[in-house]
Amino acid sequence: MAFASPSSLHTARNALVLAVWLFALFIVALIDPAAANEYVDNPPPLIDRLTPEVLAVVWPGAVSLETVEGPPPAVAVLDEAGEVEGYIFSTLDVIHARGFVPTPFDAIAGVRADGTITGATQVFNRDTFVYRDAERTALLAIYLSSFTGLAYNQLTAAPRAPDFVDGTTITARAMRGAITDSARIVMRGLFGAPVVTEPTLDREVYLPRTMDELWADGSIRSIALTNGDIAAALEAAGATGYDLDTNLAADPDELYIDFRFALATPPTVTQNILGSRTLIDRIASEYPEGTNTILFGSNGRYNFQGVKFQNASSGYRLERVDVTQGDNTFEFFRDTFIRAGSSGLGAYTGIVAIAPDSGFDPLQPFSVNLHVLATAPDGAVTTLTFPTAYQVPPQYVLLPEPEPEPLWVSTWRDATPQLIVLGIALTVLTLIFIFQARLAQYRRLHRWVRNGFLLFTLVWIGYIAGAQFSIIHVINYLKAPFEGLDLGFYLLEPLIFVLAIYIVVSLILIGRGVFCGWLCPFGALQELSHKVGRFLRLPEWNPSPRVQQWMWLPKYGIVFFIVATAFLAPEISAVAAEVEPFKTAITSTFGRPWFYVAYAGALLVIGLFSERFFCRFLCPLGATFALLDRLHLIDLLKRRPECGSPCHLCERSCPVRAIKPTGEIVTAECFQCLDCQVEYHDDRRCPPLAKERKVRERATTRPAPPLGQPVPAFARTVEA
Amino acid sequence: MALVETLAPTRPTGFSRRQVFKVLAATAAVPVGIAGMRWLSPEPTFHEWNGVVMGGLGSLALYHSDAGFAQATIARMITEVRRLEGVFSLFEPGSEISRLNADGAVAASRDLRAVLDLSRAVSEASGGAFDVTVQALWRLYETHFAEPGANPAGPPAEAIRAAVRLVDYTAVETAGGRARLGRTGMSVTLNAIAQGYITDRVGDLLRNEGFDHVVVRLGETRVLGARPDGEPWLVGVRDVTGTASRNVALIDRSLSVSGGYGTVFEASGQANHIFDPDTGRSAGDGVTTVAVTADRAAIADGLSTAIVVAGEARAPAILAAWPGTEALVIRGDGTSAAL
Ligand code: SF4
Ligand code: SF4
Repeated sequence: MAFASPSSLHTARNALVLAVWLFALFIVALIDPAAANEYVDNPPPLIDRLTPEVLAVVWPGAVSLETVEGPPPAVAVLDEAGEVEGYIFSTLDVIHARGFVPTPFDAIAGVRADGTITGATQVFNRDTFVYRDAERTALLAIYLSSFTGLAYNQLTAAPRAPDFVDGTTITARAMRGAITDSARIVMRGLFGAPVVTEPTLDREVYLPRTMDELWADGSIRSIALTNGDIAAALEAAGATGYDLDTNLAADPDELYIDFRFALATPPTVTQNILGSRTLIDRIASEYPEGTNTILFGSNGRYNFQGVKFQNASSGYRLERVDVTQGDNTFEFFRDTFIRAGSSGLGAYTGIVAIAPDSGFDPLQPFSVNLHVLATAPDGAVTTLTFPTAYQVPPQYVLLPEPEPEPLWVSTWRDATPQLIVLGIALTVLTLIFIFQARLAQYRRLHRWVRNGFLLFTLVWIGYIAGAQFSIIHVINYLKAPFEGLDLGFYLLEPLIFVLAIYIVVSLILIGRGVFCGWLCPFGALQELSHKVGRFLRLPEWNPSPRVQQWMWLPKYGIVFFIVATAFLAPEISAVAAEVEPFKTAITSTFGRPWFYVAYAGALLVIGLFSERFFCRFLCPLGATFALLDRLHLIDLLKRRPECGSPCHLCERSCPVRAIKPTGEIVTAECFQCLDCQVEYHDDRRCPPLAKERKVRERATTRPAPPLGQPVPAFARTVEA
Repeated sequence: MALVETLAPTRPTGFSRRQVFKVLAATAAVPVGIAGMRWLSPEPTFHEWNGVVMGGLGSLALYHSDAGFAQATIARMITEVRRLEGVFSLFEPGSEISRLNADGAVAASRDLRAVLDLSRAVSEASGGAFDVTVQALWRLYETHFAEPGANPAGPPAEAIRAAVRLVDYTAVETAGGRARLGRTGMSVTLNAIAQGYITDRVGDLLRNEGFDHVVVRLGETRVLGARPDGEPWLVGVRDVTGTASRNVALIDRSLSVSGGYGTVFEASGQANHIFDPDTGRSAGDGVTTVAVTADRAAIADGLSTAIVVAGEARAPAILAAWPGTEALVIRGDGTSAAL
């Protein structure tokens, strides 16, 4: 290690090279992450950053602004009356958040007391992908403006339009997170919004509302009854001749009672209806914490209060109103009923208190029952009950912050198009294997299908989707039980995850060849380049079967070494895994140090002259699958008794020489390319089949043999 | 039979001139093809991540040509970092270490055991200068200086003595998949070593994924490979004044810098976050900053803390226990020494 003397290390030697200059910049960033940036270190006051253009996005139509010190620092937006409507904040001021680059960005947004974002934009960023790119900056602005009207903790996830890539997405996500976090701090610091862990009724926040708004948003419910309604109800109850202070029949349309009520626990409801906080404060001081309240009010001849609650004889009970919720009935008495004169709810208004331990749950629906008592001339009393259901409107319920979605969920969502392509590809591959016997009968079709699929595997799976399966994945999966790696760690690679499942199933059913022959991009690269070599009639080299038997073995040693060291000495394992040139040739398109590139290139050169040399003799991943291959349940590839003796056609046709001189296929070395099956089905090349064809042709050209004559035994196909 | 002949290896019998030319041309075509692929695909660049790790700022920088692959890898690394925070973070009440401190024992993950075992080794090598059980002192100082008008000399002597009695690394046991604290009231902090461990984990994973030029800064610094231009990475070491007056050159190596400038309890910088387990006082007499380089960040992390406490004189003996580790010591007077 060299500890260099101060400041002499940035020698002038390399200073001219642009690349080095960039790295030096990077190093400066390493030494001092908050690299001097005037804007970031000394941002102008927020109110000065709120230019008319910014304000038009963040809070259109804001009447007047006022800086608040905080914490957190913000700018209050005031209405005509000087009341605070909400706050505008800067993520730079509040949390100093950063995105893709070490320099923090500055996103500005406004939030109302109810937590909705009034608008958002960004005024400063140094993200290399966005900064100075007008198109991406515009996209980012569109994305941020989509927050308008949403709750600060439920902002829409960043879009994934094709040109909205890389750093931009990261920055967009970071800005979204920063706006949510800053808004939360503003909500707590400036609005005093409590933090809740479960849905909770809002007992703190007062927001100005008109009566019309309260009616419209469901805060107030009512039931209006006319004389006629009461008369009808009495009749339905089978009671007549009652004295209800009025001749019900005389004026059936006259209002008997218009009864209104509202759950009064949320201060927004009570203060707006009553016009002051007096009663809220009185209840807070006289009743235990957690007390719920309901406001009642009525107009009309019949008054919901009655007078009995003042009489000891009736037990001071408010006889005309009670509340039911489930099996519970809540009645009110003099000590739980406060009269409130007249109000927006009616000429008679009052509020009732429900004790916190009474079992009343303000978040659940309940029913307010209005009782109309009718006394018969003989003194008998009939009670008519008119229930009205109530459910607290959602704006008074504070919800806990939603659990942040695990990262892999959005990764899978973002990867949907890729997953669809892969799904189609795997379906096609499955169909190829299901109909392989059919496919193998058409030499040209088979060649097109095979080369087409390999090209897809190389270009799309390998280079576009970057889903080269590798021995590292095998090791990570093998280590899972020991290292406690999170499942999310695996799920964050959706394509690899899907491929892994497909590979396991295919290994169990058919063998190593499904992956190696069809889904491995590096395998495809070798095979395609070899095919070019064949087209150019390059010489071919293959070891003799005896030598090859030995050459098959090293790859097992390599995989054993890699897996063993993965557990014992991970550093060594990482080096050993470089036997696999996938990272070089596929994942980073040869963008690695020269020795890796030279190695991968050498393997490709050898592959030109010897089909899949690396796959057959060196590949640790292929070896892993070859080992598991012992499992395979189905032998797809057909054989004839003649295979191996006397015929050696398939053996010669097998590009990877996986057919023994005896005619037996070594599945561990078979790539399921189906070339041998094409020969098997070719009645011009497969000798037994050709002979059968000739017999048949002779039969059609000559007069047909008499019926019942046995087919020569030699012409019959026997399948092993 | 003609077919039998094909059994023999298809060894060409003597090349024609034309064939030799073909072989050479094909061989030459591969590098050309590779160069073409390089030309077609994006230039490798650094892909960065910045965020909060264990309560401090962290960053990752990966050099790769496939931006999507690099970003996906970063996301996976962060998932692993978050998991490890669930083991080591004192800020998370449900973390393994928080539960260990609260209950005195916990079913320990492999990660917790690995860090506790390494901690013990560093403690032994440094004669107790490094000690994960100083958390009792840390809390004492934290509450002391949180009071308005706290005595700038530090907490009262008897309180320190009481806390020192709870400082003893030998009382931390790991056996049978559990970690246990031998004394009631004892608590551990792994802040001086877990960040290095997290840095190592991520570094190891990234190496496996085939990243050749990487800077992992997750509390400690670890670099993979050299810079893309082949030069070593230069990391500035800040001294007490906060200026990065010295650079450390790293290739495939880890760096941990410890010193009293980190978290400071009070304005004079007298009481800082590294404690001497023997005296219960803030360490750092004489030596203000120690930068240790090692192959693994956890070791660099533990050793740098140990040397700040133990002092320059004992540093060589401590370093000797881990061959290949080196240290840069910056003294209070601004002079420095490489050990
Ligand atoms: S042997 Fe290795 S390189 Fe060849 S196809 Fe199989 S996994 Fe890919
Ligand atoms: S030709 Fe060889 S590799 Fe291809 S399917 Fe037949 S045995 Fe397998």
